[in-house]
Formats: sequence, structure tokens, C-alpha cells
Amino acid sequence: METEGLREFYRAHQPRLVGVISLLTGSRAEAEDLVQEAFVRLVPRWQKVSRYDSPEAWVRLVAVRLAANRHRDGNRLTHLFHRLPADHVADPADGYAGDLEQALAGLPMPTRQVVVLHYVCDLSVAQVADTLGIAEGTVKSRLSRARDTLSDSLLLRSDDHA
Amino acid sequence: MPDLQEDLQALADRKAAESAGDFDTVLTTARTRKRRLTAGLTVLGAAVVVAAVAVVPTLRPAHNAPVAGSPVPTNAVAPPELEQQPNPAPVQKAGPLTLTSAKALKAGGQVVASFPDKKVRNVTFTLSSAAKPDVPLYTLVAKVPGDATTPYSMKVNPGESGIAIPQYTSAGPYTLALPKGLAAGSYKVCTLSGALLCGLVTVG
Repeated sequence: METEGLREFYRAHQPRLVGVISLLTGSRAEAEDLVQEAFVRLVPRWQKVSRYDSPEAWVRLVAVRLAANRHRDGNRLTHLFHRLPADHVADPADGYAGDLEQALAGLPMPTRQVVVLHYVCDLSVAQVADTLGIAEGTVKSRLSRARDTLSDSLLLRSDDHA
Repeated sequence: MPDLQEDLQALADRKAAESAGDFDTVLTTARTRKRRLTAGLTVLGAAVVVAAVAVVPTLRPAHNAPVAGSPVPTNAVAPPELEQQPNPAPVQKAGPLTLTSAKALKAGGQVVASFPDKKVRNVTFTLSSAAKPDVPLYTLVAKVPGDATTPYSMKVNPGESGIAIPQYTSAGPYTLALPKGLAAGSYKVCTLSGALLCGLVTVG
């Protein structure tokens, strides 16, 4: 019975979570791995987490932290993280979406976390600050820098497309 | 610039639509991990038990003496010097003479005789069987400072007289040497000068 509940939860939230984490990692395959790991960690805790107001927030937080850890570990080995994965080739047909993905991947991971949680997961500034354990002012300043950077980057690329 | 929030959400939705997931794999991985954890804890517990069993024989006794064949080196730090306190176990009081020994008495061993009255007495004592206290078996000559030949004992031969004894007096305590051939049993030790003081010793 518990397994069925967990299966339903997985079906309902796994795809969306992969979409969110993909924006952090820049790679859908890597995001699938991380989300899978987050759900594996959820299984033994399901009885407890299922009683939370928002179990999906728990899984999302685990996945976000896993992404940050993998990013940090990857950075220790290479300074190439800010580039998209080598096998990623932007589809010219993607147009603006591809540019946005690249511009997002160019942001530092802490800024990317704030952007994704605020704009994609619809968390308020206070909720983002609480989730990441940082001050609200830090969230605001990161959002501001992210908007400026993304705006500049997308405007430049728009000029290129034109 | 188009609305950032809508575009990011659209991008996430597109990635979500492409995603593939297998719940059964999640369950299998979680259960396998749990089994591994259980097995790991079991192995760890067994290792702790084995280590404990291996370490126990290497523990040194409390008196800090080296253990023969011990793989653990003995403590190289010299223990602080302690004043040797006489073991109260062998102390026997039978009458006013206090006889004290640092360890269980054996034939040839030494015992310290103390006078409660602190009176000055000669270095000679008598040793007799507790069963026959009136028949002296040995004359004991206590340790005289500076005289390496003392302490010693002399067998009492009936009718013999004129034995030479050191001319030394003290209020004690005196260190006495029990005869080497003394059989196990209880003996009475008494002073030979001054007020008579006696005590019992047991020789093992």
C-alpha cells in the first residue's frame, strides 16, 4: 500500500523535478540520475516524509543539494563546468530557448539555484532563503545579478540571431 | 526580453516531457542499498568483536608489570616512585609487639617488629612455635645499621650459652630475618630485653 502511494508520488513529480534539476545541471541525463538518487533516498523515509505538508519539497531539496555537491566535486577536477556538457549541441531551431539554456548555464551554481527555485519552482524570496539556508538579502542580490546577466546575454544573442 | 519566468518554466516543462524514469529501479536500488547497509553493519560489528577479543589479552595488569609475550610494549615512562607501604594483610598482633611484612611470609623472609611503647630495647628476639611458646627455637638478631651481617637467626641449642650478639639498642622498628629452614606454621616472636612484648607470625 505504501509502495503504491510512493509510486503515485513518483509518477506525479519525477518528470517535473527532472525538468527543474536539468536547469541546474545543464544536462537532462545528469538530472535524471540526481532525481533518481533523490527518490532512492526517499524510499526508506517515505512513511515520515509523506506526512509532510509538501513531500515534493523534500525530494526537490535533496535533488538540489545533490546537484550542488556534484557541481562542487566536478569543479575540483575541472574548471570547465561553466560550459555546457561536451555532448550538448544547441539545436538552432531552439532559438531563444537554446540561448536561455546557455545563458543559465553560464551563471554560477548558487545564482542558478536561486533563479530556478524562485522562477521555476515559484518559491518566494523568503522560501528560497529558507531552503538554501541563506539570507533573504543574498537571494535578492543573486536574483538581481542573474536578471542582469541573463538580460545582457540574451540581448547579445538576439542581436546575433538577427 | 520575453518574460523570464514563463520562459524558464517552459524550458523546465520541455525537459520534463523528455524525461524518463523507472520507479521499479528506484525501489530495487533502495532495497539493495538497505541490504548492503545491514550487511556492512553486521561485518563492522563482527570486526569490533574480533578486535575486542584480540585486544583483551594485551591489556596489562594493574600493577604495571610487563606481560610475558605481550605484543604491546610495556610503558616506557617510569612510574612515579611511591613509598612502599607494608601490606597490612600479614600483620598479626598478639600482644603488644607489632609484626609487619610487605608480603606473605615465608621461611627466610623478613618481618618488621615495632614497639608500641617506643622503649629502647636490644636487637635480639626469640622465636618459638605458637603451639609451644615457652620453648624458644631461634634467637633472632635484628638488622643493625651499618652491619651487613645482620639480620640473621641462630638456632637455640639447650644448654648452650655465651652467644655473641651485637651491642645495639633502639626503640625500633627492627627488621628481623626468619630462619631459612623454618617450617610453615604460626610462630611467636618476643623481645629479649626490656618489658616483654610478643607477636605472632604465620609462615606459609
